[in-house]
Amino acid sequence: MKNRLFIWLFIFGAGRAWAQLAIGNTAEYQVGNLPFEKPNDLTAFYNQLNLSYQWRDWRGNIKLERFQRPRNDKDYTELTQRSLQYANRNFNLALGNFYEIIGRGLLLRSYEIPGAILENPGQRIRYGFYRDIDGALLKYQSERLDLKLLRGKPLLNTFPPNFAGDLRRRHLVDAVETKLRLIPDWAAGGAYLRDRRGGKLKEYGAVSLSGNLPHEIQLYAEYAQRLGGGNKRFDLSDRSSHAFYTSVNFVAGPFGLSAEFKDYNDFFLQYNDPPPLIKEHPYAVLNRSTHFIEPRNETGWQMEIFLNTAQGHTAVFNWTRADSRPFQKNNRFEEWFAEFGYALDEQTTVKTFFDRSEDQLLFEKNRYAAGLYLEREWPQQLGTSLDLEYQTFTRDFTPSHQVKNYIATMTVSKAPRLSAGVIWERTTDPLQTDNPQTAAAETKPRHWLGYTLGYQFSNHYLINLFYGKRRGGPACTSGICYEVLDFEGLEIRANLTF
Amino acid sequence: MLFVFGCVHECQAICILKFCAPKTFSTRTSFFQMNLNEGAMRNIIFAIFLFIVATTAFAGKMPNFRLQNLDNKTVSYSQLKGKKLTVIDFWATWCKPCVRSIPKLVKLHEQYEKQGVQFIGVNVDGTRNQPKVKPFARSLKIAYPVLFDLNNDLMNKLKVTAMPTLIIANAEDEIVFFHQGYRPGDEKTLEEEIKKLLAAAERADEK
Repeated sequence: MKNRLFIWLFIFGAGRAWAQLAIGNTAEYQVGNLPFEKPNDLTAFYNQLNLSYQWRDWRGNIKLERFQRPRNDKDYTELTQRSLQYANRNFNLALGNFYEIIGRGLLLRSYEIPGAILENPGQRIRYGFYRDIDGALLKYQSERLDLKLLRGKPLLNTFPPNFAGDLRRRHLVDAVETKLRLIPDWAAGGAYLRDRRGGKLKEYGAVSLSGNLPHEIQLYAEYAQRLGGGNKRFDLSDRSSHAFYTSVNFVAGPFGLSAEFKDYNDFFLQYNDPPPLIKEHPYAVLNRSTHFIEPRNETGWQMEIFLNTAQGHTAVFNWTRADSRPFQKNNRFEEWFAEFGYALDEQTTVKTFFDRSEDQLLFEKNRYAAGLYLEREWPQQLGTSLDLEYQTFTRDFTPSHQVKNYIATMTVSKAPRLSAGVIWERTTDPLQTDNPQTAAAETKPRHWLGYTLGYQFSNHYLINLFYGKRRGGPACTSGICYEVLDFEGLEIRANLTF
Repeated sequence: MLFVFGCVHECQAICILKFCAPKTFSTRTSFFQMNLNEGAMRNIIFAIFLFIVATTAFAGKMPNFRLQNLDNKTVSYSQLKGKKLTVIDFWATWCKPCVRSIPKLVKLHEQYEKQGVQFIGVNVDGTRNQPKVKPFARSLKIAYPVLFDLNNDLMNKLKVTAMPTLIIANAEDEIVFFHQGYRPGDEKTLEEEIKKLLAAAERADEK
């Protein structure tokens, strides 16, 4: 009742200027379930409604989420976000739920992955993918000085919205960040953060430096550490709680290069998100084999070189290495990746990739992957693409040591409205082929076949349909990695924006 | 197929209804077993109202956002916007269709820049790929400004849910075009839209 009143007030408050009202709605209806799970049909409906109203420099936002599943007591309808924001040339003020970052996220980063839906595997509850802060934010930005003050409770998004609020927002954070630009092309920053949780107080500090050098060279360095507790300033040893991140990038003609280094120790704050320095791949076999960083103890490097020629040919080389010690044992993740793109003519592009990696934490050795991506444009705004990917690795502790993964995807599109595709996957991975509901260890290769259809009705409506079986696993979007659950059935998603 | 699309529309209407009238839906019945009591009727009116708003008053307004550019300088939308139109492209380095569409956008930008059309790229890679974005953008010869939306804050404000998304705002900052995803040939639709909107802007100038 309270929610409904709030919406009516919001809509009627918008009264005289409809053009300032913005609405976004994502609805997803699933008929089906995880494979091997009972009951087979676990129909679910999830809806997220985002309303914003802007009046001059003021903006009000609300987010309403609803989850419903027949014969289930975990349904909810929650007003999960409400905020009032003011922004003018120099000042930003936010009251309620907001997103903010300090530095590169070593101390704090909140975010939203719009359109993504999380599912809590234990409770099987679906909800929006965001990690906001509930509190107040004041920002001042000018040519020479940026100042940020915030106080609020960051969301722990491992818990769905119908869990008690104090469980989802356990930390109270106060933070201040400044950035000074006294010398052209250089900026120096400093931040202080105080975290209170259940009577415990922790303090953190950070300093950063960024600069643009001649020849399109850019530098960035940030060091954050816990203050007090016997930590020495700028200590990079395993005795101190710290996070150090630095990067350099430059451009020379058609070449681009970036190099990064990280050193994180005892720095898992639950609301921070230090750069992982792991390549975010557009290829499914590689994206699924991503490495989740361990801010409790991890060091690593990443280098990437790009080449884009005037003829439209491209090349990308990436080397990544991460050493972590989560259980007092050294675990190395290392990856070598190369991708080549050839523009055969104006209508046809071919891309190939090769990847070699190993992940000691997952006990995966000699992991090789290769793929071919072919895209062709046809008359009448028709397009086709074919994506073939293969991966193999060895894992010692499972019955079948040699694992093979295959993916084939074909899509057909007719711009600007329609696209349709078929996705086929096959694996010999015993962790995937085994049915956990049976005593026997099934090793017969497993297949997934799914069909997709997308149609944009107008500027306002976009419909996506999936039917078949979808393989789950780790996935990364906008730098955030999460676990996607398997699915078998029909899924309809409708996006409404206006 | 017809059933599917019909169902989608039904779902869409129901989703709005259900937000507002959780009590009219029993959690122990299926979604489509609606009890059309008085409360539900009120909410149907509410859904129709939302639908009318959607079809008649499209155009949220482009907020005057401030984001960091590739040279770490904070710039605002009002500083960058085009005289007649502003085309905003939400993209990321890991997004295959985004990367495929960029060379086409670069060409359109070259073609229409002098006619008062400004392209702006908004990168949503987050902090994870931030150092790669400038070399990547330069090697793709993106000549228009590229900004970082590190928290996806702008993406969220503009209700962008798919990648890439193209938005066109007119001189009055009204959002007049919103297109999600990239299919080969979309650049032709975009060009037609730009031509149509430029012609409309010229007609308005003449008046």
